[in-house]
Amino acid sequence: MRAQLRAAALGQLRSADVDLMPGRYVVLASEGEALRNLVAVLAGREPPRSGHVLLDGTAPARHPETRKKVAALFADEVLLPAKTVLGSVSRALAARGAANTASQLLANAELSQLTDIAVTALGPRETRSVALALALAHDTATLFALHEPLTTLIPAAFVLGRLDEHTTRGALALTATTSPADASLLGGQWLCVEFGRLRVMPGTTPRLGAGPWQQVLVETNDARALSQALQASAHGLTTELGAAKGSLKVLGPALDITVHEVITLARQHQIELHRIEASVPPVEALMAARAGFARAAYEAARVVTQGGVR
Amino acid sequence: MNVKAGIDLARERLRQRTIPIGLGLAFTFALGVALLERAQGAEGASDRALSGGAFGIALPLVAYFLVGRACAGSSLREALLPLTRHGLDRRPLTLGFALPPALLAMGFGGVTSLLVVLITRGFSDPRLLADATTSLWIGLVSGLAYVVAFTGASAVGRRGQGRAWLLAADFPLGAGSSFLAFPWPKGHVRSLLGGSSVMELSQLGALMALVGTSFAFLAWGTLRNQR
Repeated sequence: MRAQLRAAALGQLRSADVDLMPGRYVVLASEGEALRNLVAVLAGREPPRSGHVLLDGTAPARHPETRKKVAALFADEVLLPAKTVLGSVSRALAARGAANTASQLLANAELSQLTDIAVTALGPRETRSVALALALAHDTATLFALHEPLTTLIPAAFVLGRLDEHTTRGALALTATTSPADASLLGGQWLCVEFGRLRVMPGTTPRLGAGPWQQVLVETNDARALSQALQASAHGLTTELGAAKGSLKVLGPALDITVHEVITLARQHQIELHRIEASVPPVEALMAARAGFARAAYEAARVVTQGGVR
Repeated sequence: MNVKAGIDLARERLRQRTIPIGLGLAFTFALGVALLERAQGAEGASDRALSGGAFGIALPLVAYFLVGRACAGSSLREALLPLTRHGLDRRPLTLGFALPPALLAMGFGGVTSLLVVLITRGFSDPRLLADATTSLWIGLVSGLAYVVAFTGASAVGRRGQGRAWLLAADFPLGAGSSFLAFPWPKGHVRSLLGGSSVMELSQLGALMALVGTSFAFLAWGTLRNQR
């Protein structure tokens, strides 16, 4: 799926000019209305007031076949009317032509407690939770446009895991949030909406969700050699020799990337690894690192966006 | 598939306690007006009750209420969103979506017209059967026309304000007989009931205009909504 937005405007979203290829993107902004409209035009809920939005060359607001490939979570959700949530989800799955069972879908998202509740009795947060569960279960979708996906009842780990699965199979996942903390958790290339304008400059989008707080403790037979090898790594790993002989602290962008790199380099240099353990830093350090990174990304995006406006 | 999904969507939304309550209130109002007209005098009471209370006020309000409920108070596009987001086409969905409220409004129009004629004429009136039959089909057609027009008008405005604008235009503009009354159902319904005609159209012309303009509203709303 390739998403092209050309001067697309709707309400507070004054202009969106981006070209998105499959992968993970997070749009961070303090303008909630602009984010809401961005997801709405991308998913074909509404056509842009001006400009155009194309998904693989067709406008989602005009082509039902294109909308079939989109899984969305809007700021304000409405479920299909039914007596219970289970009935509503079943009807939605039938409309989608999916083989999943509604009860299994809700159970997977840890929403079983909502199964027998009347749809009309759900609050906005519960309604969005069910809508998100439906969106994340869309296994044939090639575009995921999700507004504040970490503010529902569904555990963040489940949301992030499902997003990982979908992006791994080649989908385009765009999440929109006003929270820097959520943005760093959601990860992916960051985009920014400033003054209602969404732009991206090629090559200026570092990965979010890759904070420097991921620390791994390694015990090896040759800590110094491994340290040298890791410092030359393209992932920007930093190392610190431990007090005990053979111990090494490795700071990396994300746990999976760091561990993978440690094992790969140890094999290449024939270094024995005795133990690898993820080290959890103090909560304060983690929060500070996460907020600082997200803020830095946001400020950098402002400079890029304002530069683009001028 | 899409038409049936549209029918199911509207039917589910109309399964609310407020629907029978609303219909009951409108029904009571129409019959109350019929009783008052009868008390004023039997001559012309039937026409006054039908063109005034039943089809002039109650039926448009019932149709507006039913379409508003089916749309859950939003626009037609938003009302269909729970299905269109899964790749269903808005056009056949709209056709199916209009059907349940249309059937309810037709039922309301038919039953109300029969009872109003019965109350205002009484069992002994020799023209009861003929009047009842004529009023019945006018009630059915009027119910259908109003719902179809309101459904199409719901495509205007983020919350479907087009419905309210149509209702607001229908009452004053439809009350006339000039070309200004032509787009609105009220004048044509009055003409079918034997009142003054719009632009001197015949009864057949009024019927064609009523159905034509209503479906034109629906077609316009459907096209506006895109696929």
